[in-house]
Amino acid sequence: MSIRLKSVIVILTMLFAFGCGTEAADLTGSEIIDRVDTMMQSESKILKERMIISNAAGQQRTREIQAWNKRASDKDNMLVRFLAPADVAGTSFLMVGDDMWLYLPALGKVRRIAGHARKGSFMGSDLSYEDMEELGSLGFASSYEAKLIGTEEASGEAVYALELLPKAKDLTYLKLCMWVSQKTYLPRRIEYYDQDGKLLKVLITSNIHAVQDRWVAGEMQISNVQTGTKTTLEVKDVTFQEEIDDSIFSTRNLERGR
Amino acid sequence: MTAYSVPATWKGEDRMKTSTMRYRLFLGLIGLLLLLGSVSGSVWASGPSIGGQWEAKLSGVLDDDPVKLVGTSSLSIDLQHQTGPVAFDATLKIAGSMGDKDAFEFDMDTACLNYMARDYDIRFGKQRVSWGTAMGLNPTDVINPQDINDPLGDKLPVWALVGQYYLENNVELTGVYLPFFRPAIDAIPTKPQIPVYYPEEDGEWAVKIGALGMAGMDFSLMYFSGYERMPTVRMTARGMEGYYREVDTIGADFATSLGDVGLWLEAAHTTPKEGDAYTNWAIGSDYRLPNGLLVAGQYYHQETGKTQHDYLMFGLEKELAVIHRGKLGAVYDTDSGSFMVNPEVALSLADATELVLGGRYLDRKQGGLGMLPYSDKEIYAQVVTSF
Repeated sequence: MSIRLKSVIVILTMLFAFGCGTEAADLTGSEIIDRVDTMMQSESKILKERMIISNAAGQQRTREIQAWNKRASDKDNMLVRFLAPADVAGTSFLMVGDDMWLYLPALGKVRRIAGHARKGSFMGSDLSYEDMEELGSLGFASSYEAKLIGTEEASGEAVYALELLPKAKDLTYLKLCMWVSQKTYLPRRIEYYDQDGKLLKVLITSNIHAVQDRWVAGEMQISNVQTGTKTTLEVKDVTFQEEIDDSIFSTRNLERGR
Repeated sequence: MTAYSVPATWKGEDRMKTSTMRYRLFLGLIGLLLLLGSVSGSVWASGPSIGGQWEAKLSGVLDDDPVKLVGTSSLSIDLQHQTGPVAFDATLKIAGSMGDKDAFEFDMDTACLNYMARDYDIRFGKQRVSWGTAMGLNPTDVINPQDINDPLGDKLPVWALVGQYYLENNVELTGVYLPFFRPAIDAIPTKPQIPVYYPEEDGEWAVKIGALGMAGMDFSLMYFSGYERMPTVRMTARGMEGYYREVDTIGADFATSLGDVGLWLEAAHTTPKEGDAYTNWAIGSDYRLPNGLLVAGQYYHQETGKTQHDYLMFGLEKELAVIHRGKLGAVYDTDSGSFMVNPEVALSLADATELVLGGRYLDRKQGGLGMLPYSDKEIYAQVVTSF
C-alpha cells in the first residue's frame, strides 16, 4: 500500500474518530481492531524513546533507544540502536522478517539470534518482540479475532471493551482484553493473559497527542503483575511515513553503527 | 599456573619503523583517507566523542596458602570522530596492578581510520577483525593472535588494512592485508632458551565472502595465507630453534535457527608448508527456556598438527530481578577429563555501573586444559563503570 493511500486511510480514521461518535455502537469487534491497527500501523516510523525498567524492588534503570521501522510487502523490518547509557551504547538489533541479529560493539561482529528471542524480552523490558510488532507495524487483526464486549467509561473517556482471542495456537497469550478509545482508536489499556488464563501483563497508554495527523501515545506503561516488574516507554520524538532507505535494515548498517 | 610473557613492544612494531616502504605506503593511505574526508565535505559529522570504561578487580587466588590477593585496574578511553565519510576511532588503555604504580602500562589498544562509501568500507590501523559464528573459540578467526594470558578474552590487535565490499541482500566481500607479522608468543614457553625467529617476509592476507539472512541462514567462506601464531621447534644446522610455519587456511561458518533453537557450525582446515594438515571445528546450539534461561552448548575440536584436543563448552545466562545477570560457563576436556567452571553474577549498581562477583575452579588432569592459564581456584570481585 502506498504511503499516500495509507495517509488517506489514517486521516479518514481520524475523521471518524473526531466526528462519528454516534456510529460507535454499530461497529463490530473486527471493525474496531482494524481501526486500531490503522491508527497504530505505519509504513515507516522513526522513533526516539526513553525506556525505564523497574524491578519488583523498585530499582530503576534508564535506557535511550532509537528505532527505525519499515513494512515492506509482508516483512517487518526494524533496527533498534541503544544511545545510552554508556555500557550499552552502540548495541544494535536488526530484525528483517524472521531473521534477527544483534551487534555488540565489544564483540565487534554481528551475531544471529535464534527464533526463541522473538518471544523473549525486548531489550530487557516487559514487552516481547512479538508485543512490539503487534503495537507497531504488524497490528492485532492478523493474529487475533476481536469481539466487542461492550462500551464503557474509563477516566472520563468513552471506550470500547474488546476481547481478543488468538487465531493460531502458537501465540504466547491465551487472550487479550483491550479498552479502545472511541475518540482516538488507540488502546488505552490492554490486559495480557497467559496460557493458564492468569493475568500476566497490563499495558496502559497516556499522554495522547496528535503527530502528523495521527494519534500517538506519548507514554506506555507495561506492568508484569506476576513478577512485579514495570517498563515505561516515553516517546521523545517520532516521525511517520518518512522514506527510509532499505540499506538501513542491513547487517552492514548494523556494523557501521550509523 | 604459568603466565606467559608477551613483551610490551613486540618485534613487529620495531619492524614497522624499519620497513620504510610499507611505512610510507601506510602514511600515504592515512593521508588519502583524510583527504577524501575533507573533499567530501561534512555531509554528516559526529564527534569528537570521548567515552570509556574503568575496571577494578580484586582476586583471591585460593591455590596459595595463605590466600594471595591480586588487585588490578584498567582505564580505557574511546575516542571517535567522523567527518564526511571518514571516521577515526581509537582506544587507549592504562592497565596495571594496584599497589604498584610502576606496574601500570599505557597502550594504544586500537587506532583506526575508516572510509565509508555507500557500497564499501576501508579500514586501516591497529584493530581486531573478528570472524566466525561459534561461541568463544572460533576456528576461522585467524587474523588476530590469541592473548595467551586470557584465551577466552579479547585477541591481540594487529595492524591491518581491511576492505569490505557490500553487495545486495546482506552479501559482503572482505579482504584483509596484514603488513606486520604479530605472533601470540615469541618464545617457547617450556624452553625459553631456544631462539625463535620471525618469518623473513611479513605480508599476510585473507579474504572472506559472507551472506547473512539467505533463506534463514548466515554463512561465510574464508581463505588465509600467512603464518601460525604459535612457534614450532625444529632442528637446524644452528641447533634447536623456533619458527612460525607458513600456512594456508580455508574455512567456513554457518548459523541458522531450527524453530526456536539456534545452531552454528564453523570449521577451518590448515595446510602448513611443512608438516601435517589439521582441521579445527566447532558445532553448537543455544535455546532460551520459557523462564528466560539461555542454555548454550558447543563441541570444539582443536588440532595443531602435533596435538589434538576435544572440548565440551557449556553456558547458562539469565536475567535476575530484571537489572542483574547470572552466568555460568564451563569447559570440559574430553581427552583428559579436566574441567573448568566459572559462575558469575553481575549486579547492576547504577546505569552503566556493575559489580561482578565470580569464581573459577579448574580441575586439571593429565595436563589437560593447558590452554587456560588461569589459577585453579579463584574468586573475584570486579567493578566496571562506563562513561
